[in-house]
Amino acid sequence: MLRRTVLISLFVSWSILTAILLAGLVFRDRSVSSLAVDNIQTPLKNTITREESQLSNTGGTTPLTSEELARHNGSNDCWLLIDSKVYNVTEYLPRHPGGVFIITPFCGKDASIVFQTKNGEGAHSSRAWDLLHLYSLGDLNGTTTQERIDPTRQL
Amino acid sequence: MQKTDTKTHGEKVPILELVSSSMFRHRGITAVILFVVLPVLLWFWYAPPWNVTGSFIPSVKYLGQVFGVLGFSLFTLALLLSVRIPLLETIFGDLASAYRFHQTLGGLSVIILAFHPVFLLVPYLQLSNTEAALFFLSNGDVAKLAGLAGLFVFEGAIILTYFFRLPYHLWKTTHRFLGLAFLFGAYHAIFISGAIRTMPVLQWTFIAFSVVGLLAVLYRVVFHRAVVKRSPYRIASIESLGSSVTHLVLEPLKEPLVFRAGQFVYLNFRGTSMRDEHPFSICSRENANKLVFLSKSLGDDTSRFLHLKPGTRVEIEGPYGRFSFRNGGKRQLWIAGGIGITPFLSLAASLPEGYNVDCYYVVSQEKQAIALPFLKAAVSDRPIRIRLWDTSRSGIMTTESLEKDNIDLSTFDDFFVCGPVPMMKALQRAFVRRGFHPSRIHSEVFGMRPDS
Repeated sequence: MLRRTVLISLFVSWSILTAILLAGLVFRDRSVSSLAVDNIQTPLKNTITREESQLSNTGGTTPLTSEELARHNGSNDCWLLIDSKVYNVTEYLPRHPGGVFIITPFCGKDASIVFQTKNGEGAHSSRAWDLLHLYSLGDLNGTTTQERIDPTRQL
Repeated sequence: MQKTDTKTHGEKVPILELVSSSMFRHRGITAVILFVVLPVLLWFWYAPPWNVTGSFIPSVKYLGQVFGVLGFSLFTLALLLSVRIPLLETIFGDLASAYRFHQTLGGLSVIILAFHPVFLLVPYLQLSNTEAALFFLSNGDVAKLAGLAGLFVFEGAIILTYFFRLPYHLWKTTHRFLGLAFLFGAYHAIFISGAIRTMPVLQWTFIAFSVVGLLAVLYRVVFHRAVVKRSPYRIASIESLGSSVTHLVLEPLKEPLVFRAGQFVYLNFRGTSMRDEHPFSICSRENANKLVFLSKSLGDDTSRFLHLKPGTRVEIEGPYGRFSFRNGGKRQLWIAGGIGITPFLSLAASLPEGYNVDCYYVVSQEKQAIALPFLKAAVSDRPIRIRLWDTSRSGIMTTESLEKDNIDLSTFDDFFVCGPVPMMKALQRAFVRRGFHPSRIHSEVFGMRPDS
């Protein structure tokens, strides 16, 4: 009985792990950016068109103040301050490997240390940092555009 | 000084031997649960499960983390139970039971640890396959790599144990790699960057477990030979009895071994072609000066038995085991299958007055009943009725066939079974189905390997 369970368990676990490895390495993402453009309802598209939008949008800027940051404090509208930059991670929340609830307590707050240390669990990968930058709104005390805040308006 | 009881059997017997085997079993299970549950409870204390409910991804990750904690604890305990120390017999009843726990916990541990990385990968899958693959390949994180390496070695050693019938010495060598797997696993458990870093008590518990596990490995692989006391004997005579059975008589070079009927010892034939020590039931009367053994060649080292010469030095480790008539009432049914007759030879020769025993010697053919003359000699004038059961004529032994053989099962206090594992399991199940409490069915299964 135990012998059969060991056999089935090892077969199932290694089938899954091998499939993930093959899928991940053979059909490797071209880059975080392309992943975001192709697969995610993406703020990157907004990033790509950022220059154009800034050129075309002379009005509708929003100041990235501490007060504005604090207003975006829920899972439906989550901004984070990380290393003096403000990020709108609302769309990314459901995809976070650690789950939504790891992040939501820090929505509208300074999450620099939390992000750097994975809330005490270690450090995020460089890919995670790359991914984070796709959601950047700008520097704290700078300004951002409505299109960067709500990318769907741009699409 | 050991406590004794003089009321039950009219002779001085260590009180522990009077406790039923089921109590030992419960004590063993309690010890296992306490050892394994402690780290999991600590995890729950630091990271209560209700904090992650309501969301699939964190729940899967949480499950993966709990599997890691549980798997490592089981692995530690499995290693601890591979150590031959008297304390294990006190907790688990006998060494064979401790080894059965060792096998079961090792199997459970590998099952649980196999899914530890799978569950931790799932959250990354929703991000991208590549993120998940990179997470699995550890991204250069030494602690993760150590965990992965440990899992590979652990699974490899378990696969070799369960699915390849390697020669005993080769299996033993591959099994030693479990120590390496544990070393990697311990490094992973202590140094992994994760939630455990925020759980100091659990982290210290894992450090303690790692030390205990590594000490168990060191003791088993390195120090056991030096630390354990062995009694020096030499071969007085050795002869083949046919049917691959060898009759071996050993005489002491110093003080003779003190043992109880039904116990077994490890024989080490140093300086001979027999590389490994093997467990053998003693066939002699309790505390006899000369020790008699019957060995059936199993195709490994034991097939080299006949090449041994009289005068060869033998070192004996033990005795171990609690397969004894003292663990039961006065009316007993003994069932020996094939070479499983060996402990009964000792029990029969040592049975004191007041017992009433029926002893079945089950063989596939009458000519295979090699030990019958020894059994008759051991019984002498004691109240033991010997019954030969030839399965080629009488078929497989069942409770029904026993009753047809004029055995009234309801008259027996206890049942003692020793023989091939399938036979013992079938009889144990049959007796339980007939309403006998498992604690009244005593069996002697021995072997570190799950297939032994």
